[in-house]
Amino acid sequence: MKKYTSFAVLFVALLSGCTKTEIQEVPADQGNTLQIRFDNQYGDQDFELKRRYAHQATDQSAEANLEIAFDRLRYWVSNIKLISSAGEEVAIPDAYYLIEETGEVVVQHLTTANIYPATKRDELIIRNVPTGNYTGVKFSIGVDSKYNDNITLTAGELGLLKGMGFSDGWMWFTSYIFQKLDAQMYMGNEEKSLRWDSGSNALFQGAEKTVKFPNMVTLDQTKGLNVDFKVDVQQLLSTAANPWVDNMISQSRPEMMVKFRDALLHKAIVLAEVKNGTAN
Amino acid sequence: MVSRVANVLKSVTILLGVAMSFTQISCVKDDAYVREIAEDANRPFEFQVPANFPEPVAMSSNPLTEAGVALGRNLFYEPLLSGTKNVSCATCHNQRKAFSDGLVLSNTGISGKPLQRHSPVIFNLAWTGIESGFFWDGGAKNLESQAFAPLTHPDEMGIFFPEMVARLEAIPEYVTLFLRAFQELPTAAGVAKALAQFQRTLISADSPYDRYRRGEDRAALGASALRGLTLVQQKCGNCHAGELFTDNQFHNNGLDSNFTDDSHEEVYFGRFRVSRNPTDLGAYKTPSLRNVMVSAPYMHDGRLSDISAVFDHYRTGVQAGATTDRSFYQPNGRIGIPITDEEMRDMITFLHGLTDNTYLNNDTYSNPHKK
Repeated sequence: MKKYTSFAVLFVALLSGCTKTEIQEVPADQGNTLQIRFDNQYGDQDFELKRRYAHQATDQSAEANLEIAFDRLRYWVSNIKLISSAGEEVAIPDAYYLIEETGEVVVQHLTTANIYPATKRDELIIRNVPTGNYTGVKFSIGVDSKYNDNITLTAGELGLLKGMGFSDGWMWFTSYIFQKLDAQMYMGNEEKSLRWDSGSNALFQGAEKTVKFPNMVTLDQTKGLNVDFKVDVQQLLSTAANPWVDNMISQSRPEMMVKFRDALLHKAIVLAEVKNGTAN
Repeated sequence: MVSRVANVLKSVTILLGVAMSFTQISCVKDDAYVREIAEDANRPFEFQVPANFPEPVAMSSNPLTEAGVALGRNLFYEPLLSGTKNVSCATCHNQRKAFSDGLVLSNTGISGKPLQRHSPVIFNLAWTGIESGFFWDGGAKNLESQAFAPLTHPDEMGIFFPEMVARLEAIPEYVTLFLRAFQELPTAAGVAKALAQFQRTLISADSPYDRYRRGEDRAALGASALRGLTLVQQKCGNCHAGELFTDNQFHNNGLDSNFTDDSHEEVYFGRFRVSRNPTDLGAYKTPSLRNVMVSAPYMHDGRLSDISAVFDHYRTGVQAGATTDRSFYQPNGRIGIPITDEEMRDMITFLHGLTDNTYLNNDTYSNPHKK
């Protein structure tokens, strides 16, 4: 069966002249569908790229009052499991999703300037989820070691050309970038960029979030399940006592990577609503 | 075995499908045509483990196949993989020098700027596992992941993957090889997998030492070389261990005692940059002693120009430090490896006996574009 699937996919790919086929996502308007949404906010305000937000650093320094405008927030959501009323975990296969809100990225290159287009992707839709009564969900930020140790392996949305691995830095260290926050900071007449990246197998230990639903929810042929999270980007800034000072986080700063991960996992991402999706 | 048959069947089906889609022919199966395709199917590569070697590390996610290895060899020597179309892997990895380049720090990449570390030799990499990894600091977990660094580095090959893939797709021979090797059109991941496959087949195991060791030629090593063999095992065998002449571990061999320079993404920190373990400051992976006499200069930064400079270092130049490998500390508290001049001469004679001319001249490893 698999043989014929490969055949068909390749056949279509060749006929249409493209090198990769992508499964088009459909709205979660059918049963047995799980939709998870990550809605970016900045405190009580709507989140927009390039908009300047005030931020008061917690370190009480002279440099504590700054403004910050975000260029991108990207992270891998993986390892998704629904928790059934019997306490069993229902794992979603090949669950690797890149959640992102990013402006255009110009990739400098010798022969051509290539552009990664501005992208907003804040929800993931999983179909054919087993029917059941569910009481919660688990997921991880980042990529497990099997795939993180070998960039040529593919599953879900993992891939080379997404700017979250080898295409822009860390070539000397095998790991995906698990989460990335880029911004421009302003203080008086001064300006400074913020580049926070994190990743590594060590960081994946403790990268799982368990969320209990307020009530048990049934997912079946007629009812999908929508899980909405609020992602407060301001909470992400609590990674550093003062982002103006700690404006660079990378593989060389494992303690800061842990703080950055935990700020996303435990402070920024908060459950907003769980409900049944409408069935047409 | 069952899965192998299934794979071959799958290859045949896909190749057939591809052929049909190219020519838009009808779906009538022609027996002779199917047989022809089957003969072209991707066969497993026969990897021969030398009798005196341990078992290599398995890489089940990228099994060696004839087409994969052939593709990797073509790509290894392919300058189209660089931004400027004039630098290939072989630019810094010359077979005659055991795939090193003889430079202290290579400046032959697309920018002409010197790199931060010395171009390493390439052989017997099928015996390097994930725990030691690749590069001088082991930052890359496997050859598949390693390939992306030189391919993309602006001072090495500086390629942009979509550009690379477009170039390969435009060459029918590459399209055919990719389809055969991976049942897909060229991809960046496929390039890395093929390069990894080719490099795993690069085996150096036919030096005079090997012929002596396997009993094929008891006269392959003379008296001085045999004394040198014993001395090397005694005095260097702690790190240059076993038949591979490397333990594939990381050691600070006392080249430096100060590790405060954190420039260039901490490249001067050695293994610590990757492991964040403080005992790894200044530690680098043990290179093999095989082919050492044709792969000067030496050390992770190429700072020692010839073999006598290396002996000078180990005899009198090892610097004490918190992370300097303990094996350099002698019972009397002195640091370094005690070696007399006479011992050194025997050891160097033996090291010449580790030069594998069969490897350095093996046509199956050479540039396939030069016929």
